[in-house]
Amino acid sequence: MVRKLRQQFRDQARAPLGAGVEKFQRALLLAPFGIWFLFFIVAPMAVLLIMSFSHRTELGETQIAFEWTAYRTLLNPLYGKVLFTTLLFAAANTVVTLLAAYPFSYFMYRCKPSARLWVITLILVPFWTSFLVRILAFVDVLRLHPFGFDWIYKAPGILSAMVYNYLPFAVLPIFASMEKIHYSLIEAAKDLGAGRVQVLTRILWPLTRSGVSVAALFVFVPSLGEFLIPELVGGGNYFLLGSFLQNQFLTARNWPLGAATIMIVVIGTLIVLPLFNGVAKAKGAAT
Amino acid sequence: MTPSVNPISSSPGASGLSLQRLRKVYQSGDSISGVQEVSLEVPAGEGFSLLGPSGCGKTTTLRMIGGFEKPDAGRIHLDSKDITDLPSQYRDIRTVFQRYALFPHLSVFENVVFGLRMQKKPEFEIKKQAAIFIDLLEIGKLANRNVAQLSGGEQQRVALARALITGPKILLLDEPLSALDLKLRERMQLELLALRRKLGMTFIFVTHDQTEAMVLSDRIGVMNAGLLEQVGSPEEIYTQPKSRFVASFIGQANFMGPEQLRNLRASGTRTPDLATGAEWMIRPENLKVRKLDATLSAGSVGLPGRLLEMAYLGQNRLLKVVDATDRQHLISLPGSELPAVTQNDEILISWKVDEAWSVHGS
Amino acid sequence: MKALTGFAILVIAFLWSPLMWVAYRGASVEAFARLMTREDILSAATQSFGLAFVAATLATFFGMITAFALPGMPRFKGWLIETGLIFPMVLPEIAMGLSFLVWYIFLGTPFGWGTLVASHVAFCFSFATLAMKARVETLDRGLIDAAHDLGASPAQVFRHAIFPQIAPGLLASWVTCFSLSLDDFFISFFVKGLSQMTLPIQLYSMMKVRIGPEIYALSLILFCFSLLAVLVTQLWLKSKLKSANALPSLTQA
Repeated sequence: MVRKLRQQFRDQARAPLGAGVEKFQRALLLAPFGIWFLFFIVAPMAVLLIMSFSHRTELGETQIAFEWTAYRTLLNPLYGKVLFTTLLFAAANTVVTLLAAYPFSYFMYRCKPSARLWVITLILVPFWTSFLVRILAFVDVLRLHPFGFDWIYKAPGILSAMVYNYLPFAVLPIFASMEKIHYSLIEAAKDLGAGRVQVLTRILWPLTRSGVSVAALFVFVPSLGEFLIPELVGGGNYFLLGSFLQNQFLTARNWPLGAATIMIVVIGTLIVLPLFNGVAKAKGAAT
Repeated sequence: MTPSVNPISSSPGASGLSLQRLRKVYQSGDSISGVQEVSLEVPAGEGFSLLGPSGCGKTTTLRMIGGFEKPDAGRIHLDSKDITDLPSQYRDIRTVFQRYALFPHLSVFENVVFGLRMQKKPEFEIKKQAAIFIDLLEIGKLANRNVAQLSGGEQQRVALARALITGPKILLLDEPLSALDLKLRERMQLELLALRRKLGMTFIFVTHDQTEAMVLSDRIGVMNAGLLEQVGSPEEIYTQPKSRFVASFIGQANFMGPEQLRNLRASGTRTPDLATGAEWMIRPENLKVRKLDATLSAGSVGLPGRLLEMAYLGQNRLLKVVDATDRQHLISLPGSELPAVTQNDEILISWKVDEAWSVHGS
Repeated sequence: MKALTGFAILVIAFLWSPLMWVAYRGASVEAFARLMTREDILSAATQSFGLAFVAATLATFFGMITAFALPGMPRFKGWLIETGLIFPMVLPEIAMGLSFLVWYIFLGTPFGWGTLVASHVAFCFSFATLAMKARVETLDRGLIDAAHDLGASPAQVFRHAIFPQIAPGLLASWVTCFSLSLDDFFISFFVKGLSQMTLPIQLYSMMKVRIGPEIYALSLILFCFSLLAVLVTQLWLKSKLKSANALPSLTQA
């Protein structure tokens, strides 16, 4: 019996990878994914879901129940304000970041390949430097009142810190989609009379739209949960979703409420995600 | 239906394209590439090919004509007008790019009319012109298809239509057939030839395929290391190459130098003197294989050698022979002719003296 | 193009000047000396690096396995798996951290190295898989077939035909995961045990209390570390691609 399994394994190991992969072999390869997905994604979310319908006792404990209390609480305009401010910051962050990332990506696209490698390095180093180091650095610089403005503990400071943090995240997917455009397309368009604006609107934008939506996704949704930046840069003046969640889970101990909030974010992400991933596939540009 | 655009030679005094001492060099490390100096006149209505190995500067030259590269030195004139400093869209020259550069997000129709849209032509005119050129290039069935679904040949037609619809005086084509497979390439060569004749336009090709150049062009410019080595009709270049490079690049060439000629058997035929540094170049189809002791006819000379290999190719038979100086030569005989020799036989390589052509160079 | 270059320089300046400022403030003997005395920071650093090493290795390993399963999958299934992988990448980290917290409490597992490592591997997994995906997709089967044909065992096939081709992807994946793990705040914050401390959390608490020069020294070290990692990766990629004669791109790694 063992011999047969070993022989089977050896035969399958011999088969070249790809279309010829046996079903058994592929299932084996997907096992880690399956375990990971069920154990680390589905299960925790399920627990959160149950918790969002649970009841919070006066002592701050959670009893499994089924009630809409948590969700109904969220409808309270007070919480709405938190959500609204968070959405506003996230949206502003996304817009500014994309506005800066797009031209920068185009610059990288037009660079000579040898120069491009160094530009990528210049983008990657901040990208891979510790998040907290970056915030520390940025806060410190803000304290120096650059350009004579008052940045620290104010909204522009928070916004610029967010852009600072997310800019490399946006550049990479946008550049990836631009890279796929052979430069002869742009030369052809120019040859046929397209001016700079027309090249942008008729050629560049349609072909990079998917990359931009991926970038938007990777900037907008995570920035909804931003907590460190509002706290360290904003000094707690702005109460955003991240702080709210922190509060509910650790201080106020209202776990059902916290869970419900997370659930809303998760559901929102689940709705939006296939759209972006689908758009990317349809345009033929892999994420 | 003949297109309304007939941009050529009906206008008196149309002088065509003139390149004067164009130069554009690139330096990377120790190597210099690009175009050293190219001067050329292409009269209106001609089919001209720039032919050469990769890196010889032919594409750079084409791009300078098209307006995509600025020359370091030299001028370009079109019909006596200096266009050197004009950007590509203001020249009456259009380019068909190597991989066609069709816009993937636009339909075939939108690709074709792109240039007209950029010129802000009115819609009815766009439709009218589109109909003409779609018909001319026979892509009517494809009009609403997405570009990605087209085959190589179809894509090329769309690229041609897109370029021609703007009514240029000259069409530039960068290795137009390299992406196609052999059979399709042969068919498209003839179609391009017919298209050009029909439109009466100037077409300038860049190619590394000598057969393609010979089929498509009235004249060929052979380039090497940034310089034009020879410009002439296909026949001129084939039968009277100016340098060893040109002789070797077009077709196969056999070379007989002073060392080889020491063993020459001339039996009374007078052989012209060879200048210093030159060699005789003889094409494979002009070499014959004879028995070692055969008598040579008048006007022929011979060289003793040995048959190495023989291969049958249907149309012809190729024989690889080696002479007494260990230099190899290639003989091409008609396929129907079966020579009475076998491998390793001692033979006589013979040719007519006036079919040998003297070439210089290395 | 000139205006674009100017803009690009502005962006680079924007991204780098705070880092330069920190480097400047941290590059003093005093700062380093004080850093060396901070047992808590050094301990947190050791823990973080160790954790990152383990997490990156495990995540890359599992990511590689998963990436091999992807080519040739029916379109919809493949798309499902990909979406499943992207989902946690997009989710706000705080949401993921809290979900883990709640789940571990539900399971009753004690918070400690187990939960910490597992959670790190979990959130790095997506990045690891996707970093490998492109490489595995463009694998040259010919090499594999040739190796089999010449009598190589499965292990040898892997070592000689498969591994060299995916090596850049493995490197990119490992370095990305290492960096992500080292840098993580939210997940670690919620799932660590009382006796653990990671560098980002340590930094956070220091930033809330008082900012002494040692924090700059630490930042400088971390910054240099990233710089080194990126330079090594890029130069290695460049040399690899020079021989392969292709256009370099991070996104293709």
